[in-house]
Amino acid sequence: MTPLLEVRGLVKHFAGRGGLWHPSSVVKAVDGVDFDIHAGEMFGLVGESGCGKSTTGRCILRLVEPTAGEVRFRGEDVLAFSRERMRRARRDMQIVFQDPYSSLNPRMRVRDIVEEPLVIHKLGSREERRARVAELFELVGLEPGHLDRYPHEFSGGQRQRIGIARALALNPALIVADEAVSALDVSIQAQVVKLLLDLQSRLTLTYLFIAHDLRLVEHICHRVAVMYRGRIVEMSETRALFASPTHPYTRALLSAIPVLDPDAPRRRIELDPSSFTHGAPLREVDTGHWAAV
Amino acid sequence: MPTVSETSVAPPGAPLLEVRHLTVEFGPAGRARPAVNDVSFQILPGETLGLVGESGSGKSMTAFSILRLLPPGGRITSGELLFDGGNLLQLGEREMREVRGARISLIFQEPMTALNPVMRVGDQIAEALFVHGHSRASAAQQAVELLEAVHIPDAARRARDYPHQLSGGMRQRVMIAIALACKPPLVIADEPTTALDVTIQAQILDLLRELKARFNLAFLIITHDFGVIAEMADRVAVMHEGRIVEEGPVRQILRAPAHAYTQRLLAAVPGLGA
Repeated sequence: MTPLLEVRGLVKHFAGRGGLWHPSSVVKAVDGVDFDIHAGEMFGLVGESGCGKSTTGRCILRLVEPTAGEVRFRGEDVLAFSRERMRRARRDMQIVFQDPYSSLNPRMRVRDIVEEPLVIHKLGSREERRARVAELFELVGLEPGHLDRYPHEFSGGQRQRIGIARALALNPALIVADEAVSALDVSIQAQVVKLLLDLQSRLTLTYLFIAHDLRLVEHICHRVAVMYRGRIVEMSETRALFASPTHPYTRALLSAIPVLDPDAPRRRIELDPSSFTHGAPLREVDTGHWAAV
Repeated sequence: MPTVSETSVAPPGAPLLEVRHLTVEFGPAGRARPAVNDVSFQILPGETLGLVGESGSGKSMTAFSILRLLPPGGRITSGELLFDGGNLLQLGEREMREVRGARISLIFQEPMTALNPVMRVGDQIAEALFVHGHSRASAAQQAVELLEAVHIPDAARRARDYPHQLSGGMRQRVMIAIALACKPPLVIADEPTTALDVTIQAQILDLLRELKARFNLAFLIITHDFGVIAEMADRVAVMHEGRIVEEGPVRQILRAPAHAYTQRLLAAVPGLGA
């Protein structure tokens, strides 16, 4: 079966800041990334700040234009889409952002925020759209009586639910969740994660779950890819990756996760950059377990 | 380096800090709501207390109260803050300035906003010593030693850097160096690793543990992260809606929480809960 999403050789270079007397440098935010996501999967993309995980998510939706590479959605080449075709494709691919404070327009009623995608895509009559918005509000566990409120009247967790309702408005197949629960308190985070998992089974959604919280990813993702300096250095089923990390960076990263048992032994592994070749191709070290070693 | 707390007048075994029935209110009198509500706890010399809670629980306001650095509109309406045998609430602003940094210091969450962007980091560390009576020459010399103590390589050269020239982890090390400059017996750390990546967080936690042992520091660590608690704390106090709902040794709180709120909170932590 064709994967829902295929990413091949994805590259995004940004022009770095050069000075008056200095030639501008190139920031290789994403530097050759390959992975597939199958329908119904929760695929985790993890790494530390600046590793390129968010840029990868944005390139897939063409919110930033990749420098090179291929993105195939249901077998079709997304990067070759015309503007008009891309607009239609975005119905199927949505994003939920990290910050529920800055990603909702403070001057719009939440009813209009959630309805806006339907208006843009000219879907349904006015009444149908209103009914759909109320349905979405209920779906994400918000009070339909609060539809005429403004974003500031909601808590962080509720705002994130509004962002999710908006992303779901067009019945997408793929949701890029870019640090979607990172800014939330732990108990609220647990509720929103539960919502994402519920929605996944009810609406057969596929997620690209971009996160830096490794414990959370271990808990909810089927497969996970670890990014380091613009490249995937390891990718596998979640359990295998956490049980037998192979790449030196993955090992160092996992060893840095605080252990929740005060008496457990702590063995921090420091990353020795000379212990591996950055840019080495991924190699299958075990069935379905790939590492750039 | 000199040892800390030589001047402490408290008898042996007595708590270094004792917070008694602290209440902090915000808003106009009459309609004020308490952000901190009748909070009491103790910290022994050399001990680490983790104050854990979610946003709005009052944990940071508790910490800022101890230094009498509440944001505008906030005021301490009752309670006692016993430190070194005296009540901090009875000190004037001038005396309080002598406590801050020298006897109780603070590590902030966000090193980029807490450091002065137009001052060399060595000078910022030296300033902490200078305002507490060291000569400029000795302060500058000790600043370099402090940068070495927090494991910044090539400390003498790095002392001349500005904050933007340092990575996030190095900036946090500079903040720690400033906090430790006067060898205070008590350090308050407000979410000291929240803004950092996990590998950098691990290094900073290792550093704090090392410095704690070396200088016999007591820590009050404010955090929402049970990982940080498990790595650092001897005892834990759990705050919820302005009150401490549970307090105890770290193993007891993590393994057998008694209060329903603590149980809910721990159940929500991935890897600890379901």
